[in-house]
Amino acid sequence: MYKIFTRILCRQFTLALNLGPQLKFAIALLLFSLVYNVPSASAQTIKLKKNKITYDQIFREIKKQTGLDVILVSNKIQTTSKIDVSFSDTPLKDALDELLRPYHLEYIIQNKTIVIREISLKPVSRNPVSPPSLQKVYFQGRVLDENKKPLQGATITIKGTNKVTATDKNGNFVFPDVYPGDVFIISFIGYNSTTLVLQPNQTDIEVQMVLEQGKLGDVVITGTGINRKRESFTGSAETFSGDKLKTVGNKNVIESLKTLDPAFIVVTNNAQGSNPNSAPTIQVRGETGINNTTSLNAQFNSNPNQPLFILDGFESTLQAIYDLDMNRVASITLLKDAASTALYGAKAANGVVVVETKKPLPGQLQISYTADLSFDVPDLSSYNLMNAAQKLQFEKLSGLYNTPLGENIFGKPQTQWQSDSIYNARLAQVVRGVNTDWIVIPVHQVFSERHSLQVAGGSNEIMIRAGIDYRNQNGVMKGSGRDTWAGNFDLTYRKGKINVTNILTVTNLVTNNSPYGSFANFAGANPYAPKNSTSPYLDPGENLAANPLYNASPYSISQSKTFGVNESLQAIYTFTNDFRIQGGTSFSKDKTNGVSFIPPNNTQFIGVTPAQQGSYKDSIGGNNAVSAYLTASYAKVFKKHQLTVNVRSDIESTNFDFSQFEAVGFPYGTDGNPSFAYNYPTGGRPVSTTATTHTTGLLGSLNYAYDGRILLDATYRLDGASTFGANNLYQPYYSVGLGWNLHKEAFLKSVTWIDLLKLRANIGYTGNENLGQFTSTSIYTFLQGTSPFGQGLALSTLGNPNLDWQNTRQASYGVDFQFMNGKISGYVEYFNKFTNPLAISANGALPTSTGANASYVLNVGNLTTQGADFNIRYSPVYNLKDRIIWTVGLTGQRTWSRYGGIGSKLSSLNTLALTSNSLARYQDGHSPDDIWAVKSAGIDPATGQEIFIKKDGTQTFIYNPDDIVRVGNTQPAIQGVINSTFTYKNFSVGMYVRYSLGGAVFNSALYTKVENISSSQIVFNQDARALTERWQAPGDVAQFKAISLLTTTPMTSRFVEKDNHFDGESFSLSYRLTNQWLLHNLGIQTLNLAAYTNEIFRIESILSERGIDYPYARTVSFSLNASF
Amino acid sequence: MNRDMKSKSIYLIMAAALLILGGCKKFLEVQPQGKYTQDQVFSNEIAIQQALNGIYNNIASNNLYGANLTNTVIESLGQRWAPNQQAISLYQAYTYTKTTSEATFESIWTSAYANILQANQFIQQIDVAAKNGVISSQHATELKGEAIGLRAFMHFDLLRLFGPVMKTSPTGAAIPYYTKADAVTRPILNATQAIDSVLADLNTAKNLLSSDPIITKGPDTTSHDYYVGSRNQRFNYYAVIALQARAYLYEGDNADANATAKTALAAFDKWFPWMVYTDIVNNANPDRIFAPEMIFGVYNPNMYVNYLAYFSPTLTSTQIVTATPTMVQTVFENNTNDYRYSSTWATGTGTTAGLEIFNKYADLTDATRPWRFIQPLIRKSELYYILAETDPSLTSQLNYLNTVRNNRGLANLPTTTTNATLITEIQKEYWKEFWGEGQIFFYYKRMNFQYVPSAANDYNSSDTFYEISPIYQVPLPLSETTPR
Repeated sequence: MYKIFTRILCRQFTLALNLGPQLKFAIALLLFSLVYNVPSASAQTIKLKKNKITYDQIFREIKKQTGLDVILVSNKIQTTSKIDVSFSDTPLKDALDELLRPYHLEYIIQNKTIVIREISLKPVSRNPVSPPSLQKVYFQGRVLDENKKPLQGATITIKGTNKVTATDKNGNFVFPDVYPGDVFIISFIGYNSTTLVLQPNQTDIEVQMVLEQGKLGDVVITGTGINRKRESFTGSAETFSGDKLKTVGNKNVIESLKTLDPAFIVVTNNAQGSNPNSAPTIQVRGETGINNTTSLNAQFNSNPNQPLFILDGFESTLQAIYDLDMNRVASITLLKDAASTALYGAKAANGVVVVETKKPLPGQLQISYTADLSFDVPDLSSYNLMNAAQKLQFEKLSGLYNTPLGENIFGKPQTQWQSDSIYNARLAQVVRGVNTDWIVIPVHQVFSERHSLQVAGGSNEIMIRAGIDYRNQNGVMKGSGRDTWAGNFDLTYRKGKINVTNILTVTNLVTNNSPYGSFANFAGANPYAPKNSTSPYLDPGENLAANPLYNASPYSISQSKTFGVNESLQAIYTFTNDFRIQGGTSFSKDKTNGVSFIPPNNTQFIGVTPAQQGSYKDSIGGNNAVSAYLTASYAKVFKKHQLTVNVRSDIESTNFDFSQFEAVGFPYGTDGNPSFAYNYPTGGRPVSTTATTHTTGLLGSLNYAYDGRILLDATYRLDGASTFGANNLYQPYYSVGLGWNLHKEAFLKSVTWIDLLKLRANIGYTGNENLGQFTSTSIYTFLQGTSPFGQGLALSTLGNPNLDWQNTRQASYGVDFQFMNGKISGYVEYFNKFTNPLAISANGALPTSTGANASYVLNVGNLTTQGADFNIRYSPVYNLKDRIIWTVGLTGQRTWSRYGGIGSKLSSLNTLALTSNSLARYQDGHSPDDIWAVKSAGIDPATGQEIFIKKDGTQTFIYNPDDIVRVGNTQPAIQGVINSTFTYKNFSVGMYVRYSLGGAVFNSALYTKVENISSSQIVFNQDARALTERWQAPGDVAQFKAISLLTTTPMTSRFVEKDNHFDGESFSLSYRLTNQWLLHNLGIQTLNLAAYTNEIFRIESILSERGIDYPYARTVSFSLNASF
Repeated sequence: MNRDMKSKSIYLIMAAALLILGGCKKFLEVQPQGKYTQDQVFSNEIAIQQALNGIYNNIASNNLYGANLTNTVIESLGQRWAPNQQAISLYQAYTYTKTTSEATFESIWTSAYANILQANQFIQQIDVAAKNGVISSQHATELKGEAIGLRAFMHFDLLRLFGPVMKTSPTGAAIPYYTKADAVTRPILNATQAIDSVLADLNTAKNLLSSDPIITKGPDTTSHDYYVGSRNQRFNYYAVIALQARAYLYEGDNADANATAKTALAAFDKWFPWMVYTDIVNNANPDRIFAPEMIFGVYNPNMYVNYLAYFSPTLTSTQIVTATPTMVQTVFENNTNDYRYSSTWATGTGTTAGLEIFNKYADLTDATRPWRFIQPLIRKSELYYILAETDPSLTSQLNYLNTVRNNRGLANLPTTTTNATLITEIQKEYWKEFWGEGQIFFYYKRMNFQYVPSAANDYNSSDTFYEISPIYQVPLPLSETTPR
């Protein structure tokens, strides 16, 4: 029917072209009546039989079969909720009645459109067969904002036509010729769009718009007060709500963020394992600086690849974010590319993490209490140590009890019987059954808790949110922990055009490191030594290996205490709806007091005069920061043009100071009170550092959208910083981005399964300020002591006036998509970062005769980092009505980097790398992550020696550094997280498994604890493979060289292994209690319960020791949240 | 809101933003705290003086002339100390490639060139300061002369340590010579080019110091006036001349060495009188460094800390740096009349019983003596040795040598002394005079002795007296060669 009708229509239209005007009019009239009469045609029937079909799909089907658009002007029906329908040639009228009856809705059919609306709206004749007057109506209206103030620039379009208008400054609009039944769509940025149908006899209307709220994903919060509508944003930014982060784990936001976003990488710290006091190393989209150059790290007090953290609009620190109470977090936005980060200019090359805390809300006082409880179990499964008998056998096989090795090690002339007697004494211990498992001694299973209480409420004008949280996070090494408490008091005042927010937070942090010291000491303790805590040495008489348990004195102290206050005040003044000013100021101050005390009986003081035994160090460090900003925002819609312009200026002053003194010489048994000390260290003097940095910025940002289809972003920022050097105070940064909302284009409008398809690309320049305080001018410092001529100044830093600031050009390309009503969604991105020039310390790069030391910085070469990341979600079950949703997702990331323009300038660093046994090389075309070593053909079964492969492919027994080639790359070919969440009513189950494939790793456990066990290392316990898998007799096919060979093994490809692993990062189960009776009687509004396991398993292709100085932990935790 | 007010407010914001940024330039110029920028230093005369002091202080650091280049490492290379210490025996065996010895020579190299950089920076900036009127041109000239002299002095000793033996390989690769503070790598010169650079710098320094107050007023050791006092603790006009003579001699240009030494011999005798016997012997505060004869020395605040760490009789026999009694007796030919013997050496007791204690750098009872903490680097006697070695007339040669001997409590050499014996006697003087002053190894190197007496053998076996073959050229450190 529909097809026939359209065919007739087309034919008539074609005819009309050749007819006279009168005839045309007649035909038009006829046409109109035809059109208008269509709904009354009794032939309109619906044929649809399907279970679990959404209303949206039903409406589309109706359109397909009848040609009528369906508009729903009611929220009684969710278009995504599902029902079962069965119509077989049912008349449209009956079908609609059947669909709408349960919701008490009615419909009218006007102007080729079925409008479904609430009956209570206005009683209308149910039988609109006789058409109302076809006369044009002069229609006018007025659009108001949430405060009933006129809204200028709102657009009003008439559905199905190209008629469009906008409100004037009084919020008024006029349509001189419309017909009753026309459907109006009123929209304005930041407000929910409103649909209304022109009623007969209606000539004017007043519409109040509702602020768009709660739809977190729709706005990109940049932390600068310049927020963008996601739909019209061309940059790459991911937002995660606090609740989403909490579904992954309850430890800290960084752990959760790494699981959720593929571009946010927490670099594995194998030494520190799960040490709660070890700050994570974070990389967003790879590296932009040379990180591992000798002594560069010491000079640059922060990691040059760390992203910038913004908390509630002001710059924050990694530690503050790490310790932040997750229950306060409203959202975290990760800004990755130039278009999104150029707002931060000189600080943005490594990405920006924007954290917003929950804001005060109007309404009754609401109390929310959260308890997070967790249980950590040390994960020692990667340790593969020898037992007592194995260790003794290993010692014997390696020749410890024979001259000359025995003599070397025991340090005195040794006859065979003396060696034998040592061996026999040890054997007696082993036979007696001594087999001490040292690694379990310093660790324990530990319980941690966090309690968080938040109170929020207030009137429409004054709202508060106040809270306090306490956390006691214990580590798996005995005595290590991190205790925090924090309080926050947030106040919002809004009236008329003013909105003022004040946030005050106070934090206190106490960290304790384990008195047991490094876990490696316990892993190295010999199992045939009986456990005791009274002897300073494990091998009394020989005194070669210190007893780690003896050194774990109860008096030792390694503690730091931090107290911080953070106050920020922000105000928004809205002049008109298209112009507003926002300003803010923030002040933060923290003070850290660190104390370390090593008691005098520690083995490190053996041989030291008593007046120097024992050491006490006290340090005080403080940070002060004051900053302020002012932003003016202007937004305007001219018909199809949407324009937003922001101008912002900011200013910041930070000050860091640190001082430390040391005292030595303590009596035995004292508790580290410095008043017991005998002395200051010989020649020691107080350490003191002060650094002040001032920065300013002027920012302009422009955001333009044409018809919501073509998008343009541009940002320019002029940064001024005292760190740039006196001749070069200002640096410009900028970005330009383009986007195309394909799904809004006419040619895709008819493809109904595409909800969103956006292409975006941007390019821009950002800087990296983490690279320390370079100075273009020379700096002198005062020397210790004086001469009779007075004090002396030393040239500590030679200025480099020609130094170029390290800038990064970043290009990003991405596509966002959402198909089938949200069943499939995700994004794919590709980026290319070009950092040029690199800044590098002269240390090792210039001959020392130039006199330039580590603090002289020069430009060398460049670094290109490319990468791609994606995040794809698919929901096989998607029933929002009944809350049954199953989503599976896959995130992935890959980056690869290469140096360029270095030439032979850093060949010396490569030579140094060779002498310091480093695997990294600086070579054009190669990656910083490449592993360099000589290729190995394995162990010769005849001799037990290693066979090396020369560059020309021939084999040799002789190791030659000239044969070093690239043997692998530590970057995985792909890594990411496989995730699956399942929600059934109030139950949710989440699963996040990290995969990492195709990377290579230098297995240091093999290199240092299976081979390369030098004569000084033989007194410590080793990996069991040193005994079981090393070559012993001719004919043995072994992976490791002869057990008797104590000579140094050079680094070869034999120790480089494929690193494929799967980590059970998070498994969670949560339940939302909705039992009305229970809740009502306990006064609880909502009650959420969740259980998690984190890092519960790891499947990997290599056997290496993980957690060298501090072991890893497996975590089980519970979370309870109740609001009253 | 009407349009006027809106535009007004926009202007207001623009103005505010501009104000913030307009005031910025000053706001952004943050002076580093606890540090001085170059501009601050060279805009104030006191700070300029402190910058020059810094160069002297660095010279007196243990990495350079506070220890390594005077009494520890360099004297070990000269076979001065008994090999009771592990560290010393490395140098005595000329093992330059062990990690510890590499680190030591690298620290000498790095510290010296870092200080040369500071000197170059000073030399560049002092002109600017003088032009700006911060410092009078007279004072600027004097300080610049000192800085250029110090630059030559440090380069010369680097050449003597890391360069080849001049006698056999004058064109062998030696060291780079830096005259600019710009961190630009300079080529490694051969030994002759390097010594020419040293001499050129000394010539410049000599001209700049031509009105050095020392010429008219002497060293004036009682005063520490920055420009006229204690000139012997500064690289003065006569230090330049003495270093010139030393450099000519090292190059093998005996005629110029002789002529240079002679030009100022009268002045040397006038301003640097010979030691008075009673100031050394039977004195509660013996002047063991022979301060009046010192042409150039530096204030070394670590001198007595070092003494306690290396030479003190309270150390154990494996810690102390010492010479065996046989060595000391051999060197001083058992002649206790020699002031240098009696003043410098004492017999150990307790933990060091039976050992000789090197007392030259022991502290004084009276802390106000002007020579306290002074490390001598160039002394007058060396000029007499230079003349004794280079003078064409044997009689004059003997005269020069006997002048020193007479002033040390020794009798004249017999008039029958032959030329060959004279050379041996000069060598003996170097032995006696410069113990703990780092000259003997360079003397051996200059003479290119194939064998020298070995400390390991106590100096005591006459038939195998010359029994260790020194390796004279210390290889350039890896930190220098690898980035090239």
